Amino acid sequence: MKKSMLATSMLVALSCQATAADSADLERRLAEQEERIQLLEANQSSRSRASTTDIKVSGYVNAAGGATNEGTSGKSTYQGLDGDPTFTSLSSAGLQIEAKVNDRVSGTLQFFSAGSEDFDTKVEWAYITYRPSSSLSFRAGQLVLPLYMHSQYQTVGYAYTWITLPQEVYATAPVRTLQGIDATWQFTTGSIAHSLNVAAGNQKLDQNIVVPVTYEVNKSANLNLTSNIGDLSIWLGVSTAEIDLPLPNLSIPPSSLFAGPLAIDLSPYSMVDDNGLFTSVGIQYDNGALLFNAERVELDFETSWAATNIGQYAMLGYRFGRFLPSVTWASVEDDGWDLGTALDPVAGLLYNTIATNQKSWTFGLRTDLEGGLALKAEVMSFYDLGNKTQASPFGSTNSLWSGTPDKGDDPMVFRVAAHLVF
Amino acid sequence: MKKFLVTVFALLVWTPMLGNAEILVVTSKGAEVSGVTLEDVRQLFSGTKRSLAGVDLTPVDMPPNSSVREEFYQQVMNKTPSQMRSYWARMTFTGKGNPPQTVNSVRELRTLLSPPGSQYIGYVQREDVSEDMAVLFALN
Repeated sequence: MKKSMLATSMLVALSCQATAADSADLERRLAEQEERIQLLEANQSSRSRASTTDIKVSGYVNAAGGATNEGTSGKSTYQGLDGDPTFTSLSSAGLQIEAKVNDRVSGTLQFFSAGSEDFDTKVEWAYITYRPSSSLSFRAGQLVLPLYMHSQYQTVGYAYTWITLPQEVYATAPVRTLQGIDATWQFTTGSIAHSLNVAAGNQKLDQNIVVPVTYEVNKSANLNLTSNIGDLSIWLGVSTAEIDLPLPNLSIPPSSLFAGPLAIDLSPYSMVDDNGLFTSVGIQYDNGALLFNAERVELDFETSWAATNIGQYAMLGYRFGRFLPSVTWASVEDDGWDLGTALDPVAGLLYNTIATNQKSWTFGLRTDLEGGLALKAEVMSFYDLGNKTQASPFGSTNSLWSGTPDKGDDPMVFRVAAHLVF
Repeated sequence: MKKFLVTVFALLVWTPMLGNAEILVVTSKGAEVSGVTLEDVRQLFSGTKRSLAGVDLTPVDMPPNSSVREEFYQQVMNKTPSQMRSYWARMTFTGKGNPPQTVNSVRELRTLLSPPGSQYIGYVQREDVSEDMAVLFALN
Protein backbone atom coordinates (compact mmCIF):
# COMPACT_ATOMS: atom_id res chain seq x y z
CA MET A 1 0.00 0.00 0.00
CA LYS A 2 2.79 2.34 1.03
CA LYS A 3 4.64 1.40 -2.09
CA SER A 4 1.63 2.08 -4.15
CA MET A 5 1.03 5.49 -2.48
CA LEU A 6 4.67 6.41 -2.88
CA ALA A 7 4.55 5.47 -6.52
CA THR A 8 1.40 7.52 -7.01
CA SER A 9 2.95 10.53 -5.21
CA MET A 10 6.04 10.31 -7.36
CA LEU A 11 3.96 10.10 -10.47
CA VAL A 12 1.92 13.16 -9.43
CA ALA A 13 5.10 15.05 -8.56
CA LEU A 14 6.68 14.15 -11.86
CA SER A 15 3.48 15.03 -13.68
CA CYS A 16 3.32 18.44 -11.93
CA GLN A 17 6.94 19.08 -12.79
CA ALA A 18 6.22 18.10 -16.37
CA THR A 19 3.12 20.36 -16.45
CA ALA A 20 5.09 23.24 -14.98
CA ALA A 21 7.81 22.65 -17.52
CA ASP A 22 5.23 22.47 -20.33
CA SER A 23 3.57 25.63 -19.09
CA ALA A 24 6.87 27.53 -18.94
CA ASP A 25 7.77 26.25 -22.36
CA LEU A 26 4.38 27.26 -23.70
CA GLU A 27 4.71 30.75 -22.23
CA ARG A 28 8.19 31.10 -23.70
CA ARG A 29 6.94 30.00 -27.12
CA LEU A 30 3.96 32.32 -26.88
CA ALA A 31 6.27 35.22 -26.01
CA GLU A 32 8.44 34.35 -29.01
CA GLN A 33 5.39 34.16 -31.25
CA GLU A 34 4.13 37.48 -29.90
CA GLU A 35 7.48 39.09 -30.64
CA ARG A 36 7.48 37.57 -34.10
CA ILE A 37 3.96 38.76 -34.87
CA GLN A 38 4.84 42.29 -33.74
CA LEU A 39 7.92 42.26 -35.94
CA LEU A 40 5.97 40.95 -38.91
CA GLU A 41 3.22 43.50 -38.40
CA ALA A 42 5.71 46.32 -38.08
CA ASN A 43 7.34 45.18 -41.31
CA GLN A 44 3.96 44.75 -42.97
CA SER A 45 2.97 48.19 -41.80
CA SER A 46 6.08 49.85 -43.16
CA ARG A 47 5.76 47.88 -46.41
CA SER A 48 2.12 48.91 -46.87
CA ARG A 49 3.00 52.51 -46.11
CA ALA A 50 5.71 52.41 -48.73
CA SER A 51 3.47 50.81 -51.33
CA THR A 52 0.59 53.25 -50.80
CA THR A 53 2.69 56.39 -50.64
CA ASP A 54 5.46 55.74 -53.12
CA ILE A 55 3.56 54.41 -56.14
CA LYS A 56 -0.20 54.31 -56.22
CA VAL A 57 -2.11 52.95 -59.19
CA SER A 58 -5.83 53.51 -59.44
CA GLY A 59 -8.28 53.43 -62.27
CA TYR A 60 -11.82 53.19 -63.49
CA VAL A 61 -13.86 51.50 -66.21
CA ASN A 62 -17.18 52.75 -67.55
CA ALA A 63 -18.93 50.05 -69.57
CA ALA A 64 -22.06 51.79 -70.74
CA GLY A 65 -24.47 51.56 -73.61
CA GLY A 66 -27.93 52.43 -74.76
CA ALA A 67 -30.24 53.40 -77.56
CA THR A 68 -32.73 56.09 -78.48
CA ASN A 69 -36.36 55.59 -79.42
CA GLU A 70 -35.49 57.02 -82.83
CA GLY A 71 -35.57 54.92 -85.96
CA THR A 72 -32.42 53.23 -87.17
CA SER A 73 -31.91 55.69 -90.01
CA GLY A 74 -29.01 57.25 -88.08
CA LYS A 75 -30.15 60.76 -88.88
CA SER A 76 -30.19 61.92 -85.28
CA THR A 77 -28.05 60.81 -82.34
CA TYR A 78 -27.56 61.71 -78.68
CA GLN A 79 -24.03 61.25 -77.30
CA GLY A 80 -23.41 58.82 -80.17
CA LEU A 81 -26.56 56.77 -79.47
CA ASP A 82 -29.18 56.06 -82.12
CA GLY A 83 -31.95 53.51 -82.62
CA ASP A 84 -29.48 50.60 -82.59
CA PRO A 85 -28.21 49.65 -79.12
CA THR A 86 -24.48 50.24 -78.80
CA PHE A 87 -21.87 50.05 -76.03
CA THR A 88 -19.21 52.04 -77.87
CA SER A 89 -19.93 55.73 -77.55
CA LEU A 90 -20.46 55.87 -73.76
CA SER A 91 -17.76 53.42 -72.68
CA SER A 92 -14.40 54.62 -71.42
CA ALA A 93 -11.57 53.78 -69.05
CA GLY A 94 -8.83 55.60 -67.16
CA LEU A 95 -5.65 54.62 -65.38
CA GLN A 96 -3.95 56.92 -62.89
CA ILE A 97 -0.43 56.53 -61.59
CA GLU A 98 0.72 58.66 -58.69
CA ALA A 99 4.35 58.59 -57.66
CA LYS A 100 5.27 60.18 -54.36
CA VAL A 101 8.88 61.28 -54.36
CA ASN A 102 8.76 62.50 -50.78
CA ASP A 103 6.24 64.08 -48.39
CA ARG A 104 6.22 67.29 -50.45
CA VAL A 105 6.65 66.26 -54.07
CA SER A 106 4.64 63.85 -56.22
CA GLY A 107 3.87 63.27 -59.88
CA THR A 108 0.52 62.16 -61.35
CA LEU A 109 -0.24 60.74 -64.76
CA GLN A 110 -3.70 59.75 -65.93
CA PHE A 111 -4.39 57.96 -69.19
CA PHE A 112 -7.87 58.10 -70.66
CA SER A 113 -9.46 56.12 -73.44
CA ALA A 114 -13.01 56.68 -74.73
CA GLY A 115 -15.15 54.72 -77.15
CA SER A 116 -16.39 57.98 -78.64
CA GLU A 117 -12.80 58.59 -79.77
CA ASP A 118 -12.18 55.05 -81.07
CA PHE A 119 -10.51 54.16 -77.76
CA ASP A 120 -7.43 56.19 -78.67
CA THR A 121 -5.51 56.51 -75.42
CA LYS A 122 -4.44 60.00 -74.45
CA VAL A 123 -2.98 61.71 -71.42
CA GLU A 124 -5.77 63.36 -69.48
CA TRP A 125 -3.61 64.54 -66.59
CA ALA A 126 0.14 64.95 -66.26
CA TYR A 127 1.26 67.15 -63.42
CA ILE A 128 3.72 67.61 -60.60
CA THR A 129 2.46 68.47 -57.13
CA TYR A 130 4.43 70.43 -54.57
CA ARG A 131 2.94 70.54 -51.10
CA PRO A 132 4.86 72.97 -48.85
CA SER A 133 2.45 72.35 -45.96
CA SER A 134 -0.43 70.07 -45.15
CA SER A 135 -2.95 72.74 -46.17
CA LEU A 136 -1.32 74.18 -49.30
CA SER A 137 -0.45 72.54 -52.62
CA PHE A 138 0.74 73.68 -56.03
CA ARG A 139 0.42 71.73 -59.28
CA ALA A 140 1.94 72.30 -62.70
CA GLY A 141 1.33 70.49 -65.98
CA GLN A 142 -1.82 69.31 -67.74
CA LEU A 143 -4.72 69.71 -65.30
CA VAL A 144 -8.48 69.37 -65.50
CA LEU A 145 -10.07 72.77 -66.03
CA PRO A 146 -12.06 73.40 -62.81
CA LEU A 147 -15.22 74.83 -64.37
CA TYR A 148 -17.94 72.71 -62.74
CA MET A 149 -18.76 71.24 -59.34
CA HIS A 150 -17.98 67.70 -60.61
CA SER A 151 -15.50 68.62 -63.34
CA GLN A 152 -12.44 67.03 -61.76
CA TYR A 153 -13.94 63.53 -61.93
CA GLN A 154 -16.40 63.89 -64.78
CA THR A 155 -14.99 60.84 -66.56
CA VAL A 156 -15.27 58.63 -63.42
CA GLY A 157 -18.81 57.25 -63.62
CA TYR A 158 -18.57 55.45 -60.26
CA ALA A 159 -18.13 58.79 -58.48
CA TYR A 160 -21.62 60.13 -59.23
CA THR A 161 -25.23 59.05 -59.52
CA TRP A 162 -25.80 59.37 -63.27
CA ILE A 163 -24.33 57.32 -66.13
CA THR A 164 -22.91 60.56 -67.53
CA LEU A 165 -23.14 63.98 -65.91
CA PRO A 166 -26.06 66.13 -67.16
CA GLN A 167 -24.92 67.34 -70.57
CA GLU A 168 -27.14 70.43 -70.37
CA VAL A 169 -24.52 71.74 -67.91
CA TYR A 170 -21.39 69.70 -68.59
CA ALA A 171 -21.34 70.31 -72.36
CA THR A 172 -21.50 74.11 -71.94
CA ALA A 173 -17.77 74.70 -72.34
CA PRO A 174 -15.93 72.80 -75.05
CA VAL A 175 -12.67 72.60 -73.05
CA ARG A 176 -11.97 70.02 -70.33
CA THR A 177 -8.26 70.32 -69.62
CA LEU A 178 -5.75 73.10 -69.15
CA GLN A 179 -1.99 73.38 -69.50
CA GLY A 180 -0.88 75.51 -66.62
CA ILE A 181 -0.59 75.75 -62.86
CA ASP A 182 -2.92 75.76 -59.90
CA ALA A 183 -2.81 76.27 -56.16
CA THR A 184 -5.18 74.82 -53.57
CA TRP A 185 -5.50 76.06 -50.00
CA GLN A 186 -7.50 74.07 -47.46
CA PHE A 187 -8.66 75.97 -44.41
CA THR A 188 -11.47 76.03 -41.88
CA THR A 189 -13.69 78.75 -40.47
CA GLY A 190 -15.38 77.35 -37.39
CA SER A 191 -16.86 74.01 -38.37
CA ILE A 192 -16.81 74.78 -42.12
CA ALA A 193 -14.00 73.24 -44.17
CA HIS A 194 -13.04 75.17 -47.30
CA SER A 195 -10.92 74.40 -50.33
CA LEU A 196 -9.91 77.46 -52.36
CA ASN A 197 -8.40 76.76 -55.77
CA VAL A 198 -6.88 79.11 -58.33
CA ALA A 199 -5.73 77.90 -61.74
CA ALA A 200 -4.19 79.59 -64.77
CA GLY A 201 -3.09 78.39 -68.18
CA ASN A 202 -3.94 77.86 -71.85
CA GLN A 203 -5.59 75.28 -74.06
CA LYS A 204 -6.51 74.77 -77.69
CA LEU A 205 -8.80 72.30 -79.39
CA ASP A 206 -10.42 71.57 -82.74
CA GLN A 207 -14.11 72.32 -83.00
CA ASN A 208 -16.86 72.64 -85.57
CA ILE A 209 -18.43 76.08 -85.87
CA VAL A 210 -19.98 75.92 -89.35
CA VAL A 211 -16.56 74.62 -90.46
CA PRO A 212 -13.71 72.89 -88.60
CA VAL A 213 -11.78 75.53 -86.64
CA THR A 214 -9.15 75.69 -83.92
CA TYR A 215 -10.47 77.16 -80.69
CA GLU A 216 -7.83 78.67 -78.42
CA VAL A 217 -8.30 79.50 -74.76
CA ASN A 218 -5.56 81.87 -73.63
CA LYS A 219 -4.77 83.52 -70.31
CA SER A 220 -7.38 81.40 -68.61
CA ALA A 221 -7.78 82.39 -64.95
CA ASN A 222 -9.99 80.31 -62.67
CA LEU A 223 -11.06 80.76 -59.07
CA ASN A 224 -13.27 78.32 -57.21
CA LEU A 225 -14.27 77.63 -53.63
CA THR A 226 -15.73 74.44 -52.16
CA SER A 227 -17.16 74.67 -48.64
CA ASN A 228 -18.26 71.65 -46.63
CA ILE A 229 -20.27 71.64 -43.45
CA GLY A 230 -21.73 68.39 -42.25
CA ASP A 231 -23.69 66.80 -45.08
CA LEU A 232 -23.77 70.00 -47.13
CA SER A 233 -21.28 71.08 -49.80
CA ILE A 234 -21.36 74.34 -51.75
CA TRP A 235 -19.39 75.17 -54.89
CA LEU A 236 -18.70 78.61 -56.40
CA GLY A 237 -16.57 79.10 -59.50
CA VAL A 238 -15.61 81.87 -61.89
CA SER A 239 -13.31 81.64 -64.91
CA THR A 240 -12.15 84.12 -67.49
CA ALA A 241 -10.15 83.65 -70.67
CA GLU A 242 -9.19 85.31 -73.92
CA ILE A 243 -10.63 83.36 -76.85
CA ASP A 244 -9.09 83.12 -80.31
CA LEU A 245 -11.34 81.66 -82.99
CA PRO A 246 -10.14 82.34 -86.55
CA LEU A 247 -12.96 81.84 -89.08
CA PRO A 248 -12.23 81.35 -92.83
CA ASN A 249 -13.45 82.89 -96.04
CA LEU A 250 -15.68 80.07 -97.27
CA SER A 251 -16.08 79.20 -100.89
CA ILE A 252 -18.68 76.48 -101.41
CA PRO A 253 -18.57 74.78 -104.84
CA PRO A 254 -21.74 74.38 -106.95
CA SER A 255 -23.96 71.50 -105.92
CA SER A 256 -27.42 70.14 -106.50
CA LEU A 257 -28.74 72.75 -104.05
CA PHE A 258 -27.48 75.80 -105.93
CA ALA A 259 -25.92 76.40 -109.32
CA GLY A 260 -23.03 78.75 -108.82
CA PRO A 261 -20.21 78.78 -106.27
CA LEU A 262 -21.22 80.39 -102.99
CA ALA A 263 -18.78 82.58 -101.11
CA ILE A 264 -19.32 83.42 -97.46
CA ASP A 265 -16.61 85.42 -95.80
CA LEU A 266 -16.68 84.49 -92.12
CA SER A 267 -13.34 86.08 -91.30
CA PRO A 268 -14.83 89.41 -90.07
CA TYR A 269 -16.55 87.35 -87.38
CA SER A 270 -13.34 85.80 -86.06
CA MET A 271 -12.68 86.12 -82.35
CA VAL A 272 -9.35 87.70 -81.46
CA ASP A 273 -8.58 87.97 -77.74
CA ASP A 274 -12.30 88.11 -77.03
CA ASN A 275 -13.18 87.85 -73.37
CA GLY A 276 -15.09 84.82 -72.20
CA LEU A 277 -16.62 84.55 -68.75
CA PHE A 278 -17.78 81.29 -67.15
CA THR A 279 -19.60 81.29 -63.82
CA SER A 280 -20.93 78.34 -61.85
CA VAL A 281 -22.68 77.67 -58.58
CA GLY A 282 -23.56 74.28 -57.13
CA ILE A 283 -24.90 72.62 -54.03
CA GLN A 284 -24.83 69.04 -52.79
CA TYR A 285 -26.59 67.53 -49.80
CA ASP A 286 -26.06 63.89 -48.84
CA ASN A 287 -27.06 62.60 -45.41
CA GLY A 288 -26.48 58.98 -46.37
CA ALA A 289 -30.11 58.43 -47.38
CA LEU A 290 -31.35 61.62 -49.02
CA LEU A 291 -29.28 63.02 -51.89
CA PHE A 292 -29.75 66.38 -53.56
CA ASN A 293 -27.58 68.00 -56.24
CA ALA A 294 -28.13 71.23 -58.15
CA GLU A 295 -25.86 73.30 -60.35
CA ARG A 296 -26.14 76.34 -62.62
CA VAL A 297 -23.54 77.54 -65.12
CA GLU A 298 -23.39 80.41 -67.58
CA LEU A 299 -20.95 81.03 -70.43
CA ASP A 300 -20.75 84.56 -71.86
CA PHE A 301 -18.65 85.86 -74.74
CA GLU A 302 -17.77 89.43 -75.56
CA THR A 303 -18.51 88.88 -79.25
CA SER A 304 -22.05 89.86 -80.15
CA TRP A 305 -22.83 86.81 -82.35
CA ALA A 306 -21.63 84.33 -79.73
CA ALA A 307 -24.64 83.13 -77.76
CA THR A 308 -24.69 83.06 -73.98
CA ASN A 309 -25.77 79.62 -72.82
CA ILE A 310 -27.19 78.96 -69.36
CA GLY A 311 -27.25 75.37 -68.12
CA GLN A 312 -28.80 74.05 -64.94
CA TYR A 313 -30.03 70.87 -63.30
CA ALA A 314 -31.52 69.63 -60.05
CA MET A 315 -31.42 66.02 -58.90
CA LEU A 316 -33.18 64.32 -56.01
CA GLY A 317 -32.49 60.76 -54.90
CA TYR A 318 -33.16 58.52 -51.92
CA ARG A 319 -31.27 55.37 -50.91
CA PHE A 320 -33.22 52.25 -50.06
CA GLY A 321 -30.46 49.93 -48.88
CA ARG A 322 -28.24 49.30 -51.88
CA PHE A 323 -30.64 50.97 -54.30
CA LEU A 324 -30.62 54.66 -55.18
CA PRO A 325 -33.50 55.80 -57.40
CA SER A 326 -33.22 59.40 -58.56
CA VAL A 327 -34.90 61.94 -60.76
CA THR A 328 -33.12 64.81 -62.53
CA TRP A 329 -34.46 67.79 -64.40
CA ALA A 330 -31.96 69.60 -66.62
CA SER A 331 -32.09 72.54 -68.99
CA VAL A 332 -29.86 74.55 -71.28
CA GLU A 333 -30.99 77.69 -73.07
CA ASP A 334 -29.49 80.75 -74.67
CA ASP A 335 -30.24 84.16 -73.22
CA GLY A 336 -31.84 85.48 -76.41
CA TRP A 337 -30.89 86.88 -79.79
CA ASP A 338 -29.21 90.27 -79.73
CA LEU A 339 -31.53 92.54 -81.72
CA GLY A 340 -28.61 94.80 -82.58
CA THR A 341 -27.37 92.24 -85.10
CA ALA A 342 -30.79 90.91 -86.10
CA LEU A 343 -30.34 91.94 -89.73
CA ASP A 344 -27.01 90.16 -90.12
CA PRO A 345 -27.75 86.66 -91.50
CA VAL A 346 -24.14 85.44 -91.12
CA ALA A 347 -24.13 86.42 -87.47
CA GLY A 348 -27.47 84.63 -87.16
CA LEU A 349 -26.00 81.48 -88.67
CA LEU A 350 -23.04 81.59 -86.29
CA TYR A 351 -25.31 82.36 -83.36
CA ASN A 352 -27.40 79.30 -84.05
CA THR A 353 -24.37 77.01 -84.10
CA ILE A 354 -23.55 78.00 -80.51
CA ALA A 355 -26.95 78.72 -78.95
CA THR A 356 -28.34 75.55 -77.38
CA ASN A 357 -31.87 74.80 -76.21
CA GLN A 358 -32.92 71.57 -74.57
CA LYS A 359 -34.71 70.29 -71.48
CA SER A 360 -34.82 66.77 -70.10
CA TRP A 361 -36.05 64.49 -67.33
CA THR A 362 -33.84 61.59 -66.28
CA PHE A 363 -35.13 58.73 -64.14
CA GLY A 364 -32.25 56.64 -62.84
CA LEU A 365 -31.50 53.70 -60.59
CA ARG A 366 -28.09 52.91 -59.13
CA THR A 367 -27.09 49.90 -57.08
CA ASP A 368 -23.71 49.33 -55.49
CA LEU A 369 -22.19 45.86 -55.44
CA GLU A 370 -19.12 44.77 -53.54
CA GLY A 371 -15.63 45.80 -54.55
CA GLY A 372 -16.18 49.17 -56.19
CA LEU A 373 -18.72 48.05 -58.78
CA ALA A 374 -21.93 49.99 -59.44
CA LEU A 375 -24.72 49.19 -61.87
CA LYS A 376 -27.00 51.88 -63.28
CA ALA A 377 -30.02 52.18 -65.55
CA GLU A 378 -31.59 55.39 -66.88
CA VAL A 379 -34.52 56.54 -68.95
CA MET A 380 -34.22 60.08 -70.35
CA SER A 381 -37.03 62.09 -71.89
CA PHE A 382 -36.26 65.27 -73.83
CA TYR A 383 -38.35 68.27 -74.83
CA ASP A 384 -38.02 71.88 -76.10
CA LEU A 385 -35.20 70.95 -78.49
CA GLY A 386 -33.87 73.94 -80.40
CA ASN A 387 -35.71 77.23 -80.47
CA LYS A 388 -37.35 78.59 -83.59
CA THR A 389 -38.17 81.94 -82.04
CA GLN A 390 -34.62 83.29 -81.99
CA ALA A 391 -35.34 85.53 -84.97
CA SER A 392 -32.67 84.14 -87.20
CA PRO A 393 -33.28 83.72 -90.93
CA PHE A 394 -31.36 80.47 -90.65
CA GLY A 395 -33.92 78.50 -88.62
CA SER A 396 -33.64 77.37 -85.05
CA THR A 397 -30.90 77.10 -82.50
CA ASN A 398 -29.21 73.79 -81.71
CA SER A 399 -29.92 71.14 -79.11
CA LEU A 400 -27.45 68.57 -77.79
CA TRP A 401 -28.88 66.08 -80.27
CA SER A 402 -27.16 65.90 -83.61
CA GLY A 403 -29.72 66.72 -86.26
CA THR A 404 -33.45 66.82 -85.70
CA PRO A 405 -34.94 63.76 -83.99
CA ASP A 406 -37.67 61.93 -85.91
CA LYS A 407 -39.76 61.95 -82.74
CA GLY A 408 -40.01 65.72 -82.91
CA ASP A 409 -39.89 67.26 -79.46
CA ASP A 410 -40.18 64.03 -77.48
CA PRO A 411 -37.20 61.79 -78.13
CA MET A 412 -36.08 59.36 -75.43
CA VAL A 413 -32.82 57.67 -74.50
CA PHE A 414 -32.42 54.38 -72.60
CA ARG A 415 -29.05 53.65 -71.00
CA VAL A 416 -27.43 51.01 -68.79
CA ALA A 417 -23.93 51.00 -67.31
CA ALA A 418 -21.48 49.14 -65.10
CA HIS A 419 -18.91 51.38 -63.40
CA LEU A 420 -15.83 49.96 -61.74
CA VAL A 421 -13.23 51.79 -59.72
CA PHE A 422 -10.04 50.31 -58.30
CA MET B 1 -24.30 19.79 -34.34
CA LYS B 2 -24.08 21.03 -30.75
CA LYS B 3 -20.95 23.04 -31.60
CA PHE B 4 -22.70 24.49 -34.62
CA LEU B 5 -25.68 25.59 -32.53
CA VAL B 6 -23.39 27.11 -29.90
CA THR B 7 -21.52 29.01 -32.65
CA VAL B 8 -24.75 30.29 -34.19
CA PHE B 9 -26.01 31.36 -30.75
CA ALA B 10 -22.71 33.10 -29.98
CA LEU B 11 -22.83 34.93 -33.31
CA LEU B 12 -26.43 35.98 -32.76
CA VAL B 13 -25.58 37.38 -29.34
CA TRP B 14 -22.21 38.81 -30.27
CA THR B 15 -22.95 40.49 -33.61
CA PRO B 16 -25.54 42.99 -32.31
CA MET B 17 -23.19 43.75 -29.41
CA LEU B 18 -20.51 44.68 -31.93
CA GLY B 19 -22.87 47.15 -33.57
CA ASN B 20 -23.53 48.85 -30.26
CA ALA B 21 -19.95 48.84 -28.98
CA GLU B 22 -18.61 52.27 -28.14
CA ILE B 23 -16.02 53.50 -30.62
CA LEU B 24 -13.22 55.75 -29.47
CA VAL B 25 -11.06 57.97 -31.65
CA VAL B 26 -7.47 57.56 -30.50
CA THR B 27 -3.99 58.85 -31.13
CA SER B 28 -0.60 58.32 -29.57
CA LYS B 29 0.10 59.18 -25.95
CA GLY B 30 2.00 62.45 -25.97
CA ALA B 31 0.36 63.90 -29.09
CA GLU B 32 -0.47 67.50 -28.25
CA VAL B 33 -4.07 67.41 -29.40
CA SER B 34 -7.19 68.03 -27.33
CA GLY B 35 -10.73 69.39 -27.58
CA VAL B 36 -11.51 67.31 -30.66
CA THR B 37 -15.07 67.55 -32.00
CA LEU B 38 -17.12 65.22 -34.21
CA GLU B 39 -16.69 67.70 -37.09
CA ASP B 40 -12.90 67.54 -36.63
CA VAL B 41 -13.04 63.74 -36.85
CA ARG B 42 -15.28 63.93 -39.92
CA GLN B 43 -12.94 66.38 -41.66
CA LEU B 44 -9.78 64.44 -40.79
CA PHE B 45 -11.19 61.13 -42.04
CA SER B 46 -12.64 62.73 -45.19
CA GLY B 47 -9.35 64.39 -46.14
CA THR B 48 -10.71 67.94 -45.93
CA LYS B 49 -8.51 68.68 -42.92
CA ARG B 50 -5.00 67.37 -42.30
CA SER B 51 -4.08 68.85 -38.96
CA LEU B 52 -5.52 69.79 -35.58
CA ALA B 53 -4.19 72.70 -33.51
CA GLY B 54 -1.15 72.85 -35.78
CA VAL B 55 -0.38 69.14 -35.40
CA ASP B 56 -0.38 67.15 -38.65
CA LEU B 57 -2.37 63.94 -38.20
CA THR B 58 -2.49 60.91 -40.50
CA PRO B 59 -5.78 58.99 -40.31
CA VAL B 60 -5.66 55.21 -40.15
CA ASP B 61 -8.53 52.90 -41.11
CA MET B 62 -9.37 49.52 -39.65
CA PRO B 63 -9.61 46.55 -42.08
CA PRO B 64 -12.17 46.72 -44.91
CA ASN B 65 -15.46 44.97 -44.08
CA SER B 66 -14.71 45.09 -40.33
CA SER B 67 -17.74 45.97 -38.23
CA VAL B 68 -15.85 48.70 -36.34
CA ARG B 69 -14.99 50.46 -39.60
CA GLU B 70 -18.51 50.18 -40.94
CA GLU B 71 -19.95 51.49 -37.66
CA PHE B 72 -17.38 54.32 -37.49
CA TYR B 73 -18.22 55.71 -40.95
CA GLN B 74 -21.93 55.28 -40.39
CA GLN B 75 -21.72 57.37 -37.21
CA VAL B 76 -19.19 59.95 -38.38
CA MET B 77 -20.07 60.42 -42.06
CA ASN B 78 -23.56 58.87 -42.37
CA LYS B 79 -22.13 56.75 -45.17
CA THR B 80 -21.93 53.05 -46.01
CA PRO B 81 -18.66 51.46 -47.20
CA SER B 82 -19.74 51.73 -50.86
CA GLN B 83 -20.65 55.41 -50.38
CA MET B 84 -17.21 55.99 -48.86
CA ARG B 85 -15.61 54.23 -51.80
CA SER B 86 -17.50 56.54 -54.16
CA TYR B 87 -16.39 59.53 -52.06
CA TRP B 88 -12.73 58.48 -52.23
CA ALA B 89 -13.02 57.89 -55.98
CA ARG B 90 -13.90 61.58 -56.23
CA MET B 91 -11.00 62.63 -54.03
CA THR B 92 -8.43 60.37 -55.69
CA PHE B 93 -9.28 61.40 -59.23
CA THR B 94 -9.43 65.04 -58.17
CA GLY B 95 -5.90 64.83 -56.87
CA LYS B 96 -7.20 66.05 -53.51
CA GLY B 97 -6.15 63.03 -51.55
CA ASN B 98 -6.16 59.31 -51.00
CA PRO B 99 -8.10 57.18 -48.54
CA PRO B 100 -6.51 56.60 -45.14
CA GLN B 101 -3.87 53.94 -44.77
CA THR B 102 -5.47 50.66 -43.65
CA VAL B 103 -4.14 48.46 -40.84
CA ASN B 104 -4.85 44.75 -40.59
CA SER B 105 -5.62 44.63 -36.88
CA VAL B 106 -5.87 46.57 -33.63
CA ARG B 107 -2.42 45.25 -32.82
CA GLU B 108 -1.02 46.91 -35.95
CA LEU B 109 -2.71 50.19 -35.05
CA ARG B 110 -1.15 49.87 -31.59
CA THR B 111 2.25 49.40 -33.23
CA LEU B 112 1.76 52.62 -35.23
CA LEU B 113 0.64 54.56 -32.16
CA SER B 114 3.21 53.14 -29.75
CA PRO B 115 6.02 55.68 -30.31
CA PRO B 116 5.13 58.61 -28.01
CA GLY B 117 4.08 61.61 -30.11
CA SER B 118 3.35 59.48 -33.19
CA GLN B 119 1.04 61.51 -35.47
CA TYR B 120 -1.47 58.86 -36.42
CA ILE B 121 -5.14 58.98 -35.56
CA GLY B 122 -7.36 55.91 -35.56
CA TYR B 123 -10.43 54.40 -33.96
CA VAL B 124 -11.04 51.31 -31.86
CA GLN B 125 -13.74 49.75 -29.72
CA ARG B 126 -13.50 50.65 -26.05
CA GLU B 127 -12.22 47.22 -25.02
CA ASP B 128 -9.31 47.57 -27.47
CA VAL B 129 -7.95 50.80 -25.99
CA SER B 130 -4.45 50.24 -24.62
CA GLU B 131 -2.15 52.24 -22.34
CA ASP B 132 -0.17 53.74 -25.21
CA MET B 133 -3.31 55.29 -26.76
CA ALA B 134 -4.77 58.70 -25.94
CA VAL B 135 -8.54 58.95 -26.37
CA LEU B 136 -9.54 62.08 -28.34
CA PHE B 137 -13.25 61.57 -28.84
CA ALA B 138 -15.95 59.03 -28.01
CA LEU B 139 -18.72 58.22 -30.48
CA ASN B 140 -22.26 57.29 -29.33
